[in-house]
Amino acid sequence: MAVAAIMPQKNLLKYIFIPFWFGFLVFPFTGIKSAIFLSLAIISGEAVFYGITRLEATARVKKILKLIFRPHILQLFGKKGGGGLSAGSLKGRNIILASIGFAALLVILPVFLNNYYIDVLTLAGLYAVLALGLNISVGLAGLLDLGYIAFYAIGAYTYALLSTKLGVSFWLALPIGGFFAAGIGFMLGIITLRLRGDYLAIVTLGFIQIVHLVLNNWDGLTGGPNGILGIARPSLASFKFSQPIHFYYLILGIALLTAIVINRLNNSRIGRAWIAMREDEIAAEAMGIDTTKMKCLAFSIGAFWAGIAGVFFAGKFAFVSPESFTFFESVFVLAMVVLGGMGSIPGVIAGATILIILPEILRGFASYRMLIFGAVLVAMMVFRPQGLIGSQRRKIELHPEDEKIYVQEMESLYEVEHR
Amino acid sequence: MLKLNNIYASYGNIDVLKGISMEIARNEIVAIIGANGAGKSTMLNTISGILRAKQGSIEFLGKNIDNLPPHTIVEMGISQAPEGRRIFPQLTVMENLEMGAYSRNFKFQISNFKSELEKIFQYFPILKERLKQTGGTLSGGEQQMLAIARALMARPKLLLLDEPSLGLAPMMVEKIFEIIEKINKEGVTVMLVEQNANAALMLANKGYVLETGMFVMHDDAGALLKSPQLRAAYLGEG
Amino acid sequence: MFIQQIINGLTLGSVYALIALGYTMVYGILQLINFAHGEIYMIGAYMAVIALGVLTATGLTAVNLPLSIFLVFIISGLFCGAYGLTLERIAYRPLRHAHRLSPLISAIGMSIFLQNYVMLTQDTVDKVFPHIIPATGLELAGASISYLQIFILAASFILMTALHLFIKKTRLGKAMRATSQDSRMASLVGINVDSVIAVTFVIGSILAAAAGVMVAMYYGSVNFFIGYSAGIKAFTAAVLGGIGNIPGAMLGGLLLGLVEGLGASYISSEYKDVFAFLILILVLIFRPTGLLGERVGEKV
Repeated sequence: MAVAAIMPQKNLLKYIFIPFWFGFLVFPFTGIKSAIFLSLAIISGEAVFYGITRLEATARVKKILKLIFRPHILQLFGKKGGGGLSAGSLKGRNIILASIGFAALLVILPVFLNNYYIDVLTLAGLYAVLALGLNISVGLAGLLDLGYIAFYAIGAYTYALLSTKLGVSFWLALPIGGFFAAGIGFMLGIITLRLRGDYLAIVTLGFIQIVHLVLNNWDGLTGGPNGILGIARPSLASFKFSQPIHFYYLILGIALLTAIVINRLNNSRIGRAWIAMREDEIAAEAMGIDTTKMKCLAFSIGAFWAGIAGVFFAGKFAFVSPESFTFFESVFVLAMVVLGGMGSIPGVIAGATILIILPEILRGFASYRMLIFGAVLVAMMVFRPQGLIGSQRRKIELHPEDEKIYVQEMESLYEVEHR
Repeated sequence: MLKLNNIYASYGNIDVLKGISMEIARNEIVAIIGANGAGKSTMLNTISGILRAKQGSIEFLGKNIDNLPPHTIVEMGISQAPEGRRIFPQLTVMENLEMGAYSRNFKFQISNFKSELEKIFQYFPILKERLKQTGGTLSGGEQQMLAIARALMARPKLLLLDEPSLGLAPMMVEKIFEIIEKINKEGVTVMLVEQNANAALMLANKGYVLETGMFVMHDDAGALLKSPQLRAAYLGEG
Repeated sequence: MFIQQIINGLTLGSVYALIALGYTMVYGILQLINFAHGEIYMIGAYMAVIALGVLTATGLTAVNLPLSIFLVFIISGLFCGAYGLTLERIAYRPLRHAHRLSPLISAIGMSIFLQNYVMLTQDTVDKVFPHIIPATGLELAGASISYLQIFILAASFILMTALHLFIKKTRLGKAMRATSQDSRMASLVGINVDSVIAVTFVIGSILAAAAGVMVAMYYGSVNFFIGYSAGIKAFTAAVLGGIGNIPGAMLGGLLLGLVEGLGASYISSEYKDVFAFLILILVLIFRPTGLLGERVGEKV
């Protein structure tokens, strides 16, 4: 408590300075009135924060918050089972049971909803597939791929062209789009093999830019900015997919398949190789992991699902244009992965659902959408890098408990560099 | 002058220092002897503020320094020539020396700085010839001299030397140790961390023996040199 | 035609070089790509429009044009410096010791945030920057070089020289170099590494502001998304010259401007923006250290 008594004086200057500073920063852009408003808002925020830190009940509130923000919510079920070996299997069984229950809920849910909400859920499913695919490269293999949406575009345009030019059916286009995107992903993997994380990010960013430019300018093939119209909707024998609910079940099936396949991958030899590579590429290589192959594999498997999602997109909306496939869309999907928890499958699905449904609820804030996503990315990295439902392994890696680990890393790094 | 009270320090979950206490008086040379991995460098880094002690306190000239950032600790008068020398490889020798004086807020006033440099060159005449060369091009011995010279430019009250003899030819080691003695005579307290127990204890007033994060022995340097235990463990005798 | 393209390319290239310096300086010290740097440049361009609007309203522009241009630079630099400082404090400093993906993602978040912040407060339509410098110029071997182009080339040259001298000669500049070579040793000689990093961000942001002001003058309008492509191009310039290497960034910027100018006129203007990426990819594959890079690009 002695510390708490000293802190306020020490921080008082900071408390006074911060509102003024931000007021100063924004006033040329927002005008003086809004700047003053912002400063006042920060001051009141500070007052609340100050109150909380001083409150006797703080300790209790903190405890409750800790409970709510438990890194692994599912773990709560497992923990009740007590210690020992049985707890582990019990936990596993609980997760399976919970997943089945959740899936059943998703199957029944649309019966109670109107078309509008079904469409929203369909969109959430589509983005869940995309986010799960991106999760392979970003979350599992640790490769920050900012051009991910390019594969989505490739899938969508593949079906659009196959359908309008050759009359190929949706079901045949689904694997073709997926494998075509995977092939491109493999090539991108080969090109970027030698690149370190941040270079990779910028090259993939260049990739989406190039794809976007090609879609916009190759009028003869892609229809330029006008896009491609009149894409056939999927049909099975005489049954035609036309109602939102049809597409809902279709994407639900695809999403479940994606989740299952990726979960299997995650726990396989390949998945472990990815994680090893993410944590230390050189050590992984020394252990005999073919990092080249693993990188290409991560890229192409991720791209495969993006391609599938793209085909679905084209089939559902019967229309594609370059507008849907921008860098910002990539960031949007990345935000889902980061928010939910990199490397965690339930987390990523939750992230996609939240980021699709939230803007629908907050209709009035529609224009603030991207602003909020940007802020979410920063805030998540600073306060909760492992995401809402993070995987345990990932948490340890992203948030070294103290900087001592870092110092140690630096030390070994230094030795290596100066040999 | 410097007092360590029950210091614990760790990297992640691995405790490297497990309750170290020691004291250095003004104008002493204290040798810290220990094998690789005993925690010698960790100890110096904890004193310099690069690593935070998990527990315990560090007092320098009667003030607690265990929560201060490294640059403030240098300003207070503790400077270090670290293990591996860590010369700035692409700065010239002159610039390396200037960086050494950074903490004193030197405005690089020509006259002051020059007289300061002259003093350094009395210890290390070779550096004068190398002034325009970049640090990375120096030989190992020259780099060690530069590292010590750079630490001296901070005008330390306490100089921490981490393995100054490592990787140097015997002739060069002798030379470096001579210089350390000279520096000490000019009124700088020295903490000398060494694997080369014999040379270090010959020079030092006091010695501490560090093993797996704890001091297992400490005594006057002369007494330690005669101790059969130490001779067996560190001088390869018996 | 050819000489004309060279002049245009150099003008644009010097702007890229100024932005590239910010990337390269930050990378040199933190091994971090400051993705939001392009947005700082964009904010600089907006500040130019806003500041000029205020100065015109007070009547200063009509009375003393050179002084008002000078003031526009100062105001824009001041604000961008403040934005850069805040950016570092919020999005990067808390992540100094985190996993390497974390600062990258938070940088992207910052970039998106700043872009939308400007879009929401300044609207999506182009902001016009009035042509205060007359469009006339000199004839040079069949090509024309406008006074504005001369001004941009000269101003960039002065700024880059000033930066070079600052880094080479001043105490703080030397501390910056020391920190980028070995940040732990830098703190052991008494350098406050946190402040050196903050200063690096401020200087990079001021240079980006200058680039923003000049681009606003050159094109006569600004938009909230200009930071994105300029940022990538400037980053390419930095990589081309050898990231972390200051003269390299200058050279890379000029080269990129030239390639883009010539490529747009002789190959295809529609795909103008692709050239930068192709160069980036080629450099990264065949010479990751860049043209002047000494240090290995890929650190263990």
